[in-house]
Amino acid sequence: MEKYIFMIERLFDYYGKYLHGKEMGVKLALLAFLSRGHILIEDSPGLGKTTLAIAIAKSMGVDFGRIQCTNDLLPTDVTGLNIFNKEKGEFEFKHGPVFNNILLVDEINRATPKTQSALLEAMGEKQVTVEGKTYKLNQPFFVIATQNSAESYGTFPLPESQLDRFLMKINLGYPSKEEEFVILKGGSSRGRIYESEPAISKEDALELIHFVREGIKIDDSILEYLIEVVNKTRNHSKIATGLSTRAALSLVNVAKASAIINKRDYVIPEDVLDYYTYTMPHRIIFKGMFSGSEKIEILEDIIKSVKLPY
Amino acid sequence: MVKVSDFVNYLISFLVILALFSVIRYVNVLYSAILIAVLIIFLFNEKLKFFKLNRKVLTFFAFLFSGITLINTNVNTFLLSLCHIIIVFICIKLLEEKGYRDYMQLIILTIFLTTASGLFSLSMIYLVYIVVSVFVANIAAIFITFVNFKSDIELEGSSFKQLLFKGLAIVLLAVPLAAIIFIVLPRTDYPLFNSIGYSNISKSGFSSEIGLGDVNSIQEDNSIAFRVVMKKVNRPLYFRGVVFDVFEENRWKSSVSKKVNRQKRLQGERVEYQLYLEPHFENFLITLDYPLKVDVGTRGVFFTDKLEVKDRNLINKKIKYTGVSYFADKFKDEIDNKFYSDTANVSQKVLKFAESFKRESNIETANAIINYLKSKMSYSLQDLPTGSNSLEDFLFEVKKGNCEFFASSMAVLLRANHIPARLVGGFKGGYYNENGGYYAVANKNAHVWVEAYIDGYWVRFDPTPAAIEQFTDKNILPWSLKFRLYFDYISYYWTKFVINYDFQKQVSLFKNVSSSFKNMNVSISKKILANMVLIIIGIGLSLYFILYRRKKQQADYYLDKFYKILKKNGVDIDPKLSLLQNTRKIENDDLRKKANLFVNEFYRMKYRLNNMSWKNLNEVLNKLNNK
Repeated sequence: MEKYIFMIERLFDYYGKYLHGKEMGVKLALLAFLSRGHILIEDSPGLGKTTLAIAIAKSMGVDFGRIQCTNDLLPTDVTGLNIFNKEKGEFEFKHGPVFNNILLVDEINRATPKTQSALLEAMGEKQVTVEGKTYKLNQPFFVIATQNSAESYGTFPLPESQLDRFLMKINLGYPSKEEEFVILKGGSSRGRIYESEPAISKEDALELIHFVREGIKIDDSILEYLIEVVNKTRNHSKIATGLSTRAALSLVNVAKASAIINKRDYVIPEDVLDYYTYTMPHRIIFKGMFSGSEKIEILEDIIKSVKLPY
Repeated sequence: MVKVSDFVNYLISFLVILALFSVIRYVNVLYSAILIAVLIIFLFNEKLKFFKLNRKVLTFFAFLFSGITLINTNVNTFLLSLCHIIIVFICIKLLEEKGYRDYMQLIILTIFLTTASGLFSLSMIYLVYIVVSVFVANIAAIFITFVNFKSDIELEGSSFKQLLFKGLAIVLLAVPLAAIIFIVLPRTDYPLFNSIGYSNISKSGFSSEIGLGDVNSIQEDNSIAFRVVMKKVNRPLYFRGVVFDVFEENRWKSSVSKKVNRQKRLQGERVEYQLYLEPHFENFLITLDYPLKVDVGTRGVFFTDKLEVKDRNLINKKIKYTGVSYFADKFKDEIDNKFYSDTANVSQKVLKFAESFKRESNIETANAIINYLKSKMSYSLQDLPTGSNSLEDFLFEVKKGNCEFFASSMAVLLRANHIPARLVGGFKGGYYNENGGYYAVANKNAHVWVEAYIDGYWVRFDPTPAAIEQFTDKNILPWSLKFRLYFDYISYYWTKFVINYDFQKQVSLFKNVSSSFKNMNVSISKKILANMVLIIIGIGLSLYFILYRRKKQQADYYLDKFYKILKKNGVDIDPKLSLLQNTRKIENDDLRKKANLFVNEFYRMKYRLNNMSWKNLNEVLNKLNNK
């Protein structure tokens, strides 16, 4: 246990050094990474999404790849394709960017549905199929997708049913004045990040993920509490489709990851409560139109109506 | 300011004295003396600390002593030996150096001793002893925890009082539950310790043999022999016990009684009653003259040919029975004339004297004898003639005596005139308790009278002068006796509702309960069974829920405490938010840190260890409180 706490401490030291004003974003991204999920960041450009993805990749010494989505991006540009090798006289598979450990998918809503679905398959199954042949993706595999909320012209918004593939949907938001001052004074830290030493090794990262899955204790009472909450979303008058079992399972995983980043090996109710606004709203299909804050209000009412498990 | 350790010592001493008093009538005087001496040493030693005893030596001594005592024990003295062992253990515990455990052991030992007294006697005073000692023990236990926490702790008057009242309240809370348990707990018809340990048999006015002139202190004994629930009647009451039919060497004995199945034919005023009989360690039941039926439930009782009612076993506990009797002065019977006229053991002098009473008919002869005795002899309890010639001495010299002399003189004189006669031993009179609706009959009401067989009837003659009847008149009772009667009234209900509360009562209670469900078409026994099962299930379920809730409440209890402390410090608490969500709102850094300490500890116990050790939680809470 001390080993994992030490790793967590090193990671946060690292992010503290290179990322300013993104504590919440970093925390959420790390949570998603540790709970084997993916994260969708919805924000205006220029707020440090790429820097965040690079920092996470570099901190753990894993490969990093990037796809800039456009409407002429083909599925094979994501997955890779077979190319004829003249010297060997045969087709050989050229790995696409999806074979990196951490993949930043910029402006995912600009890609065509066909390309989006190729990417989403890779996220869900941890494998890609090209011309009938299946290739396993590298472990760990973590996608940070971004989505431009400001522009809607020429975009293909992700269908709601597909949003479920993302563990979290977050807004980084603008940094505070003080944080922005530090950034402006120090200049972009991206260059320094590229040159930095990883905080932990790739093997450590895999071990950490494994520990989150197997080593964190979650009490039955908390599981029952979660089930109660999930059930309420399914039987709510303002909700058309409630949380799926996959969603509930992801909530459990996030809670476990939250436990480890808080240096615990057991889950407490706050591990669930602190992050439901990032993990739940995008997975629920509401009846009628609600603004983001209205959705969160509905969810808050649901959570408060369920008795806490102690 | 009250020093708690002193207070605890006084409470313990009180408990010890109470326990000793409850059994002091039964245990060896030596043990009582030793215990009192040790108690005094204990009180001084706690103050001055002038010696310390080696625990191992004391323990060894305790085991040695228990062994020796148990070797010398038989079934009859078993209970007594146990009491002795407990007393010695108490002595040893008092002398030892005392920790929390030792204090608790002392309390338990005293409770044991007090409880044991209940096995010796079932009198009401036992209730007083046990209730008082439970209350005191509970309070002592509470204060002992303080001593354990900090040995020289002192409490302020107000908090001391508060603790005292809380301790009392805790016991009071247990009372309803105890009442329920008393009503529904399964019970046997026989007490567990039926005869074990009765080393001091209580005397009664009732004996199976009459020796003329034997020292008889019974006539002064005010203790209750039995109580009869019946309507008040305006005539002397004769309670029949034993019939003495053999006279030899100035003693009356009872010949072996034959069991009969056919009842005597009785005439007169019919009366029904319930009788609560104190143990008298004979096998006769007391009946109102003349008994037709007696119902004692499961005990095996039978009628004899002399119109006695006998039990197969000695009556060694309080029993209750119902009877049907007839008020009359005679009853028809067929007898062996020769047997009842036997004068073999009567001296010539008396036989000759008897001739002077000879009249034309038997009834006139009997009247002559009774008139002579009543007019020429006087009633007295002092200076009674004794020895082998006591009957002659009474008739010719002393001319005063108690009922035994009068009755046996008359019987002998009747027999000398060839009139079959016998003595009947029992009780006469009794105080009627208007409130309770019963006659209380004391041992001093023990009486002997004569039955003469005249013209096919046994006719009752009571030759004893009227002196005995004066204490049936309530108005001239001394104050002390009046007080006694009131006490008896309470004691009567104690017997009726507590001692005699047995399985049958239980059944009839449930029967009454079930009769309110008349529309249920089940037979009575099934109904009772169903109700009992329901009630037992109900109690079981509620017990389960009480325990379950208590377990849960423990967590809630600490949370409540936590929230209260936060509220006291001006933090708004929203119970719908989680603990950490609430503590995050705290602006004071120090308070928030301490609150988080509690939350972390609470969560660790709940979600990590799955086991709440409340000691740590209390510690954090105290820290938070003493901020």
